[in-house]
Amino acid sequence: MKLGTGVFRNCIAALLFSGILLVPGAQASFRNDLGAHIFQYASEKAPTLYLSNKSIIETQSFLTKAELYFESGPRGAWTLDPDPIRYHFFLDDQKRTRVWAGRDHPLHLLEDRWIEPTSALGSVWVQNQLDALNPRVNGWVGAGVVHSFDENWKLVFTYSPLFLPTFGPSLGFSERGDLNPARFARLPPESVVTGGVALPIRYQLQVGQLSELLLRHQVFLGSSFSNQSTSLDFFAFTAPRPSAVPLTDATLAVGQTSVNANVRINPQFPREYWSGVRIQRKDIEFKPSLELLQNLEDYSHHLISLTGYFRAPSLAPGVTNLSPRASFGILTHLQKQFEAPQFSDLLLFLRVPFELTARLISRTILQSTLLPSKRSLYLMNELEYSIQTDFSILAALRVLAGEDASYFGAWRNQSSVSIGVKKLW
Amino acid sequence: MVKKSILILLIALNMTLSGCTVVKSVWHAKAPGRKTVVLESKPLPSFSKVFSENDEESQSTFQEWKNSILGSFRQIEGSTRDYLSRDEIRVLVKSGLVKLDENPSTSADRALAVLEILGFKDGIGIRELNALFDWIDSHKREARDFYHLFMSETYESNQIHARQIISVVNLFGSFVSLLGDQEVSAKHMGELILPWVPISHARARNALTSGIELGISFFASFCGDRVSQSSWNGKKIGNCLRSLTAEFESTTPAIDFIFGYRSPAEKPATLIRAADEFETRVRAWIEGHRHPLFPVRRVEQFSKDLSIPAPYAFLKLTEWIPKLNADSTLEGFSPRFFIELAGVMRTWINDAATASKTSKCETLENWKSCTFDGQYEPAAQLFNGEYATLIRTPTLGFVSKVALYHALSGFIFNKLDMEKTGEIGSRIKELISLSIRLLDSNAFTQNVIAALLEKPVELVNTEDSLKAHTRIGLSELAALAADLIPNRDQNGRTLLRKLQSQILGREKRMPYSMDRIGLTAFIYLFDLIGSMNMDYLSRYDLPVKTEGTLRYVNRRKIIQAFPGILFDHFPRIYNECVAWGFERTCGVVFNEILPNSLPGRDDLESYEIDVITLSAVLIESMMSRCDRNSDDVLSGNPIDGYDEKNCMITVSTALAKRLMNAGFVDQDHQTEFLMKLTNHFFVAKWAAKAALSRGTVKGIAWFALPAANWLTGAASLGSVMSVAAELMDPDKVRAVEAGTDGPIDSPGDELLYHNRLTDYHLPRPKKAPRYGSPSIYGEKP
Repeated sequence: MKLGTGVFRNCIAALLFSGILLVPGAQASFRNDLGAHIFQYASEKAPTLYLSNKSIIETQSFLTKAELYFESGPRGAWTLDPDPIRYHFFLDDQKRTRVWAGRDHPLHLLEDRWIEPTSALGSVWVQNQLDALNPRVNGWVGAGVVHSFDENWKLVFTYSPLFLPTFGPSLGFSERGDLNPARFARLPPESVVTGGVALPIRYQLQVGQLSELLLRHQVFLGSSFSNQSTSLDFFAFTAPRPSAVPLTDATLAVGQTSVNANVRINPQFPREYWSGVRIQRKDIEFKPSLELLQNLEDYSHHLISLTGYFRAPSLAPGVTNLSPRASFGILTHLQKQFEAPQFSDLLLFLRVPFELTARLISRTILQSTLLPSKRSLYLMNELEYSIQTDFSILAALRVLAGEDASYFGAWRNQSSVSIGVKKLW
Repeated sequence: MVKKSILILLIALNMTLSGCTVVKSVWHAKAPGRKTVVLESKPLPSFSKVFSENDEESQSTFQEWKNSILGSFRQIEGSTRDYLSRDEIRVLVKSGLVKLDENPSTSADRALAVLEILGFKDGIGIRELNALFDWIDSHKREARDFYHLFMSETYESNQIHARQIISVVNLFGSFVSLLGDQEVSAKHMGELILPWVPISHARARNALTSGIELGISFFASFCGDRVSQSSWNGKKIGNCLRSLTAEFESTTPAIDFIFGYRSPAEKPATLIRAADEFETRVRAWIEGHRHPLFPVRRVEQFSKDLSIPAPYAFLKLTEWIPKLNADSTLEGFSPRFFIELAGVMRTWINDAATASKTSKCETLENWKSCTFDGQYEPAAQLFNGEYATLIRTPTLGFVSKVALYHALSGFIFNKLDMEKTGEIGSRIKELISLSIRLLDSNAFTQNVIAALLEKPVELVNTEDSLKAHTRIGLSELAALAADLIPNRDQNGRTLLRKLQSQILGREKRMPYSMDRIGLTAFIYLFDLIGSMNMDYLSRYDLPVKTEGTLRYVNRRKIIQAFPGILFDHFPRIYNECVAWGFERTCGVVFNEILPNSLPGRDDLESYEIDVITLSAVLIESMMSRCDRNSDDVLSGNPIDGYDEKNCMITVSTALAKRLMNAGFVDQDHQTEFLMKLTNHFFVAKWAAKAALSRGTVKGIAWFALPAANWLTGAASLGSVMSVAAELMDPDKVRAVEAGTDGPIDSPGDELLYHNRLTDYHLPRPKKAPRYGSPSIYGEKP
C-alpha cells in the first residue's frame, strides 16, 4: 500500500523546497520546464488539465530539482517534490572527502550514477509514485560523505534520521471510511464475504504517532570502483520498507441502515537490511549494467536488473539537446512470490527518445510485466514539436493493458491521449 | 530532405496506425473489479457434542463456541460498545450475517422475537451473552444427563430415574427463569413466535395464540398463584418448577417406582414411606395455593384453530372427571384431582411394596423379572398360565402392574359408588375404553404435529373412530373377557340348588358383573392386548403399511399368522383345534371373528388383530371358569345343574347374545332361537350339552333325551370350538368338511379351504407346549 496522505506529503515537500531560498551562493544556474497538457482518459468523458513544472537550481555547492505536478478533477492529484535538494562541500583541499546534507540518494553523489525505478536498487528504494506512470526514486533526508581513496576507489556513507515512505496516489479516506481515490491509486479490497454475505469495506487509517513513523534511522554504506571500462559498486543499507505493510483489524460496523466491514489499517514499515552489487561495463556495446540486491533477512527475496544503454537514434544531424540516452532492460525479483502485483514482475522495459528532425522528437516508453498471470503493458508514445527553442507542443498516447492482478492491468482503463505545450527557461 | 520527410512520414504513419490499433483494442477496457476478501473461518464443531461427548471434549466444544460467539460479538460495533440495540440487531440480521430464514425481514423478526422472549427487548450486550453461557456452563451436567437419557435407543436399560426427572424439570425451570421477569400476554407471545412459523404453515399460525393460552392455562392451573394467571412470566414459571423439584426431592423412591425403577437397596418400608410422603406433598402443593381450574375447552379451541379433530377421547373423559373429582366441572379440570391420583399412586405403591415383602424379590435390582412367590390375591386371580405366557409371567413386575390397575379400579369403583348405583356396563366400559384409548393413543398428538407441519391430518381419535371400535365390539368383548378372567370362587352351592338348576336350566348369577376385580381385569386386558399386538407384529413379521397416522396389516397375512399366534400364546386352543380339524374349528371361528376388510381394501387396521387376542382370552377364560377340576374337559353331571357343560352353555350363550347385541357377530335368528331354547327349556339344554360333547349340532334332537345325552361323555375345548364354528358360519364349515371351495367374504378366507392352513401355515411340531401346565407338559425351557 502506498501512503498518500496529501497534506503531510506536501508540507514536507514545501519545507524542503524552501531550503532553496536559504542556500548560500549567488552563482546559480536555473532551468525550468513548464508544461500544460490536456488529458483525455478512456475512463472519463471530460478532459482534465495537467500541469507540470520541473525546476533545476544549481550552484557550486548546491543542487535541487523540484518537480511540481498537478492534475485537475476529482481524481486528480498534486505534488511538489524537491529531490534532490542538497548542499555539499569538501573537507579537504584535495577534494577527496565530500560531505553533503539535504535530500538525495547516496549513490547520486558518485559520477554517472542515476538510480532508475527500473533498476534493482531503485525498485526497493523509496519513490515518489504520485505521477504513477513516471515514478521517481527519492533520496534520503540526511547527510553523507563520499571519500575518494584514489582515482578509482570511493567510500560512500549516508545517514538519515528521517524516514519518508514511498508516496503513492492517495486513496482519499474519508472520516466515514469511504474512498475518494486518486486516478492511479491501487484500490484495496472492496468487500468482504463472510458466511456467504458480501459486506462493503470501510477503511480507517491509523497512522499513530508521526514521530514514531518518521524518526527512523537509515544507514547506507558502500564502496565504489570505477575506471574507464568498469564501474563496480558494493553496498549495504538498512531502512524501513518504503511501502507499508498494512496491519489490519476488522470489525462489523452496524449503522442505522447497513452493516459494513470496518477495516482499520495500521501501516507498518518494518526495517529491512539489504546488500547489493552493481557492475557496469562501459567499454562494450550497450554499456550493460547489472544490479543484484539481496535481502539479508529473507534470503528468498532478491532482485536483479540488467540495463543496457545506447545512444538515442537521431535523424537530425548534430542537434541533441534532449534525452540523449536510450535504455532497455529487465527487472525481476526472481524467486520471491508476491500476492500483490510488483513492478519487478519480470519487467521488460525500453525507453527510446528519437529525434526525427531538429524540431520533432518522439519519445517511446514501453514497460511490460511478463510474469504468468501478471502480464501487463504500458506503452507511451509522445511527439514533441519545437516551435521555438524554448517552446514546444506535445501530443501523447498512453496505453495500459493487462490482466486483473497485474501491475499495469490495474490501470487498464486509464489509457489516455493528451496534447500540451511546454515552455523552457 | 525529401527522403527524410518521406521516412518521417512513414514512421509517423506507422506509429499512428499501430497506436490506433492498440488504442482501439484497449480503449474500452474496463478496470478490474476490486478484490473481494473471502473470510472462511474453521467451522465450529456441532454444539450437540457439548452433551454427547466425554467431559473433556464437551468442555472444549463449549469453550470453542463461547469464545467464537463472544469474540464475534466483540467484533461488532454498534453505537454503544459491547452492546447492540434492537435497531442495530435488525440491521445486522437483515444484512444476512445472522440467517434465521431465507427472507432477511423474517430473519430479523425472528431474531428480535427471540431476544424479546429472552428478556432482551431493547438490545443485548456482552454481559447478557456471558450470562447465557454461564447458565449453559452451570447446567451442562444436567443437560448432558438429559441428552444421554433421551438419545438412548434402549429405553429398557435406561429407565428414567426420579432424580433425572427432577434435574430436567429443574433445568427447564432454570431456562424459563432466564427468560426474564416480564409479563407477556398470549397475544403478544404469539406475535413474537409468529415469525418463527413459516407462512406456509397457516394452521399453526392460526392456532398459535390459542396454543399459548393453553400453555399459560396449564401452568396457571398446575402452579396456581405462584405464576401469572393470564400471561407468560418466565421467571415465575421457572421458580414454580424449581420449587416443585425442591418439594418433591424427598419422594424420589416413589417417583422412581412410578417410572418403573427401584433401587436395589430400597426396602419396601422406604418405598411405602416415600409413597405416603408423595401424597402429602401433592396435597400440600395443591392446597397451599389457589389453583384455578384448567379450562378444558381451550383444548377444543386449540384443535379448532389448528383445524384438527378435537381429541374426542380426552373431551369425553373430562365429562367423567366431575364424577371422579367433585371440584372439577364440565368446563374445568381441577388440579385437586391430582391429590386423588396421588392417593391412587400411594395405594398402588403400598400394595406392591407390601406384596413384595412376602417374596424373595424384595430388593432385587431386576425385581420386575423376578418370579413372584409371595401372596397378592388380585394377581393370583388374573394370572392364567394357559395363555400369553411368553410375555406374561408371574413376576413382581406383573404383580406391580396388577397392583396399579387394582388401585385404579378401586378408585373408580369407590368414586362412582358402583355397587350402590349399579352403574355398570356401557358407561364404565365407555370410561375405561376412553381412558385406555387416551393413554394408548397418541393420535391427538400426532394430529397436532401433522397440522403444525402442514401434513394431512387423519380423522383418528374422533367420535367416529371410537364408534368404529364399538362396532367391532372390542370393548364389549374385553368387558366380557374381563368378567371371566378372575378366578372367582365357585363353591358354596348346595346339592338342591345344583339339581334345581339342572332341571330348570337357569343360572342365577348372570356373567358380566363389573365388580372391582373385573374392572382390574378389564384394564389389565387392555394392557395385555397392547403388548400382544406389538409381539404379533414383530414375532410373525407382519408388514405394517402406514397411511397418515393409521397402520394397516394385510388380512391374508394375519390369517396365515394366526395359527402361529395360537401355537405360541394360546397352546391349549391350538392343540384342541388341531385335534378337531384346524380349519373346521379355529379356522372358521377366528376367521369369522376377525373383521372383514373394507370394500376395495385387503387389509385391516393393526389394532383389529386384537380381536384374536380378546376372543382367545375369552375362550380360555370360559374354559378356566368352567373346567373346575382342571382336567381339560367339560364333564356333565346328571344331578348337577351347575356342571361344567352347563357352565359353558350359560357363559357362551350369554357371551354370544352380548356379541350379537354389540353387532360383533351377525344377529342370526336361528342361533338366537337356540340360545333362548337352551336357557328356558332344560330339554334343549340337554341337547346342547350333547352337541358340545359331539362337536356338532347335527342330529341334535336325538340327544334331547336324557339317556342319550348322558351317554355323550365329556366335552372338550375342541368340541366347543367345533360347535361354535357351525353356529357362526355353517356354510364355511360345510365347505371345509366337503373339501370344496366355500364362501370368501374377505381376503384370507380362501385359506380355510382345501386344508391350506394345515398344509402350509401350521407350525411344526403339531403339538404346542403348554408351559402353564407343567405337570402335563413339562417346565418352560
